[in-house]
Amino acid sequence: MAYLLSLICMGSVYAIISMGLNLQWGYTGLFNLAVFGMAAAGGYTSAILTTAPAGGRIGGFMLPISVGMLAGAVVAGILGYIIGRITLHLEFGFFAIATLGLGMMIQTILINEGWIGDGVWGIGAIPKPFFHRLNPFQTYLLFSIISFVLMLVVYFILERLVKSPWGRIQMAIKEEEHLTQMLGKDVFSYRMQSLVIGSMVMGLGGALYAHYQAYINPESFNDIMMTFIPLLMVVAGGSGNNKGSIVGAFFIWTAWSTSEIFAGYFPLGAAQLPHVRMLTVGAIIILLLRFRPTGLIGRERAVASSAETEEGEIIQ
Amino acid sequence: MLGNIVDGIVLGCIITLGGLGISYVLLLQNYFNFTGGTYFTLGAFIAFAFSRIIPMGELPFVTFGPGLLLSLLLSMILLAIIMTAVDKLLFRPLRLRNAPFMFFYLTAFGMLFVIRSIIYLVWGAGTQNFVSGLPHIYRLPGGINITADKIFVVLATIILVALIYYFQYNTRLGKAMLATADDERLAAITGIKIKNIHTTVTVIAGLVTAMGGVFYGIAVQMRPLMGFNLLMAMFFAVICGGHGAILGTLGAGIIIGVLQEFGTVVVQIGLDAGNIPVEMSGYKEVFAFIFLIIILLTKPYGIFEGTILDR
Repeated sequence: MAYLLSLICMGSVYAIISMGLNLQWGYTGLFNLAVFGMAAAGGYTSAILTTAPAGGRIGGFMLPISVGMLAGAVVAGILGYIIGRITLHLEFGFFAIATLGLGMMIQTILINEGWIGDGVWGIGAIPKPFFHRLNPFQTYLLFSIISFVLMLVVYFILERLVKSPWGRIQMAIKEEEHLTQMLGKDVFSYRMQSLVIGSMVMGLGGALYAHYQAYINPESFNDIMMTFIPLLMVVAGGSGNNKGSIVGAFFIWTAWSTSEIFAGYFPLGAAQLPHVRMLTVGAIIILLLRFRPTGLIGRERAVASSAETEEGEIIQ
Repeated sequence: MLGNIVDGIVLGCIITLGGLGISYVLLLQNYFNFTGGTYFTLGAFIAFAFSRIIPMGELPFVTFGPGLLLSLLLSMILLAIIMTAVDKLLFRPLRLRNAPFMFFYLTAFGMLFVIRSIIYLVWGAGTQNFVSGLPHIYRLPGGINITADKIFVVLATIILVALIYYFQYNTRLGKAMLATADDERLAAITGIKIKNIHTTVTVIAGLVTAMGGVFYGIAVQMRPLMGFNLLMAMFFAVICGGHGAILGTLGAGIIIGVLQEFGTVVVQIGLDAGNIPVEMSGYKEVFAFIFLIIILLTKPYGIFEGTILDR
């Protein structure tokens, strides 16, 4: 039962992060590799704002958790805006390099600057909602409900966004940038909006992750767990599809965490297990791209409700 | 101070070799190979595995023997085979069906993690050295400490770059490669076999990348993340040098090597003078990345455009 609750919590965290990435990558076509930077910004902000004071680092404001999470999302959004100002004018490949580098830069800063979050030792004792009034099991139950509801809220907001004209313009930018520009749309501004909103969602996911784990250090937001796996979830579920991201997130996370159970059957040490998982996940993403590039569910048709489609017409 | 410049030049030569591997893939297939840095590490560790089997022997001046040179050669060949196999199995189908750019990037990104996990699985997370003994350090005036190993690395890099330059601009195959990079269809019409060109390019990239990795192992040491940490510097060498320009890549590689080693020391002195408690040695990769961003924003096609370095 506790295992199921942890699955729900982590699945929701990853679903939120994947949806943020899906907005940027699946809809607008921004190959953002700084997901771990955004999630770290959200997680660290929320952790600093809600924990008790500690020597050697800033923070210890003991604010309510909801405030911490909102602030995490806002800080990640601001970070997304800064990254966008620097990199959004670049071409596809340059943008990928620049965002990967910026993500690495954020991680290096968190490791080297002890006053932000105690460097590699990280921040501990991050509170969960109402934890001092409930017993541990009730806390987990409440937290899984909160994270699941939060994920649904994010889903409905994003779904509303991408079904609106705004979302269709984003998809048009992904397919035909110059054509969209000729239609009089400000491509840069639309991309920036997508980047900032996606970053905020990722920051929210990172904050939720920090509260669930109750302990974070720069390594908990490393490039494997926080960029590669969400990317895999988006691809597995079909990029450009929010339902796909959620299904992909829960599916991949269940596979990832249950692989711990099978580890006992292999003659491998504990030090090698994460690398076997990484190898498997890398192989899955490559095989998916090779044999099923549309993902498990595929992309939804994007048609305005006012547009009329003829019977039997194929829209891709 | 001067010693840092010399260290920077050595590092720059190593970065150039890694950068040339990425540059060749970019030239023909139009994507930035994120796996380049990790192939670089893999090459070093394959040579390490061979050097455990092959008896080392001795050479004058340098710490390593002919055994290491043999394992370097074997590792170069093996890495070229691995990279060609990956290219044929994963990237060729993408090229054939004209897949969007992002599929290339995603596949390269996936390969990064596959190869990194293989390195961790086989060789563990610790650091390794080719030879356990300490090299003899020559102390020159001006605070320059240099070992024969580092001189060997620089000379070998320069010879290799000269060879590649000759191959690229003075042989039939090299010119065919340039023609293909320029316009694949037109090259195919003139009778160039595109398939063979792609194979040649990948093989050269593999040879060069493995050599860079082994040199890093000789000059510094081997870590599972060494190539990934140098990735930004390699991209700087590729982009700043001009896409596919060999001498430009060498020039830009040495520039970024010197900036990384010498520039951080200068900034550190400035920070100490201003009493700002920041330790620059942890920010070497970030330093390289900041220069990469500056280049991307100002001159994304290289600063050596139109000069002799960019032929």
